[in-house]
Amino acid sequence: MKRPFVKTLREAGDVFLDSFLLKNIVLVQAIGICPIIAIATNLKYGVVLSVCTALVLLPASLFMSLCGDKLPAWLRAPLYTVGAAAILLGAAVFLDQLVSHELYAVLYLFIPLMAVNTLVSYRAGGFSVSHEPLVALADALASSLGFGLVICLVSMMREAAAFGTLWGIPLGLPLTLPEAAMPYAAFVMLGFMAAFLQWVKNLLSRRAQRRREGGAAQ
Amino acid sequence: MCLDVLIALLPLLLFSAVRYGMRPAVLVLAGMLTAAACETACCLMMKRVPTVTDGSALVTGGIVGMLVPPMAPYWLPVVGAAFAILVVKMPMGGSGRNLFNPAAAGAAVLTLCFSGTMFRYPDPGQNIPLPLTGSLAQVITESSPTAQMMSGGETLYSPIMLFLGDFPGPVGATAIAVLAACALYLFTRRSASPLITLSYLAACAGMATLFPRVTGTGNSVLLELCSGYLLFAGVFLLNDPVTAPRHWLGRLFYGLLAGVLVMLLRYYGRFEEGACFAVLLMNAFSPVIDRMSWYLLHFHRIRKGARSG
Repeated sequence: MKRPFVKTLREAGDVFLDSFLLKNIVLVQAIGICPIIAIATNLKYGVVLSVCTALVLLPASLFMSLCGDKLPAWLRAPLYTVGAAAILLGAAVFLDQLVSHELYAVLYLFIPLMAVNTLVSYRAGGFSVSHEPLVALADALASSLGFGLVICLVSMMREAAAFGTLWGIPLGLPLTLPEAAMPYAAFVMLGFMAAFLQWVKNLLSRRAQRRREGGAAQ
Repeated sequence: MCLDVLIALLPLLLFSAVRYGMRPAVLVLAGMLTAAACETACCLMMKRVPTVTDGSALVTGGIVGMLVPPMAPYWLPVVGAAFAILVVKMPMGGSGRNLFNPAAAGAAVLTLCFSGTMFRYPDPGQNIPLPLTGSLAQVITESSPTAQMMSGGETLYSPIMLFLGDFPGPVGATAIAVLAACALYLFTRRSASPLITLSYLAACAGMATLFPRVTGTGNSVLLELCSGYLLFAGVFLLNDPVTAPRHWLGRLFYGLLAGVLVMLLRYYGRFEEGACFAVLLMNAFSPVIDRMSWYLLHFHRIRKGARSG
């Protein structure tokens, strides 16, 4: 029996909000931390990596939700990994030839690594297989946006703190902390961001509960 | 418990003050005051009753102050203690809930960020007392035994010099004889577990015997155990009641693994002394070690229960 389209749309909306903020892929599910810790020291790197994630995750999720359940389980992971690697190869060549060779020289190791990131295997190989294409697409989009948001925030803070620049433009800050470019600083930042998100969620749920109680009293 | 540790820190500080003048005391006080102020500020921000009176913040700040070199600038223990309280201790829920030893984390951050300042030790025999204010450019520095062993050279320190703390090192960690007395005091007051400290030292000694860095086995063990802040970490950092395992078998494993890690960090690490990193790593594994040792001891009973049930 086919589900009504409106219901699918509502589920897609719920999944989008969940994956983007409430169950943020990095801050709550703790997936895809490696590129943030290792390389997010400049806003440019963060933007390139989040675009690469979206490029890989969207087709992989769509493909897995369309024909993932028809394939045997052992074939799924090799398929989407090889597909992701092919897409990333194109992206790397594009970045090297048309955008900036310096950027490619820094990121040449980390772009191919996105193909085997848990981010892709978990969302495309796990969630998408058992969901409809629209829902899977919403989840992929929200996951890439959530990952992009976190990696861009962390790289912005680290760039400003460590080098006193933003997108390569000097900010004229009186004090720089080169230590912020070290891996442990990113761990500390991620910890505080996760705690902040939890605080916001607690605040929202408390407000919702108060509203529910208020409605019951009337 | 915290009072005992503070009392044990006092003779170490006195020894250091006799050796280097009043500068070490100011460094330790700066660490303590910063830690207490940060903890009070955090408690007020979280709308809790300030917990400074339990003394754990003073211990944290004091230990951070003890681990910096005597000629460190005054902001060094301030930064370390502030990081320890603001990032490692209070966000986890404050006293009794911290996953990692705050003092070890403070020392680790100082080692990572300011390794140049953190490992510049004054020669203990030559500049008494250190100037309290003003430039320290005239102070004669000397490479510590750990640095000499790391660069592969032979050290000039005899066992009696090591035992009396007559070698370059951190503020409170060089007086080996005083440290041993403090350890005994903490053991008798049950503020420290001899199981942890002794297994830790045994593992360090075993590693030093198997893989000596200087000629002569006895020499190697003595040098490795006495140099740096290895012994200080074994007595004060590993025995933190919050982060150490509770089970006796877990404590044994904890000490042994920490000892092996410290020596590995010395052999292959980037820094001449990595005891604070070893302590932090072991803190992460401490709950697992506790559970594992419980399972090991109750293994036969669990299996019997599974079979009959």
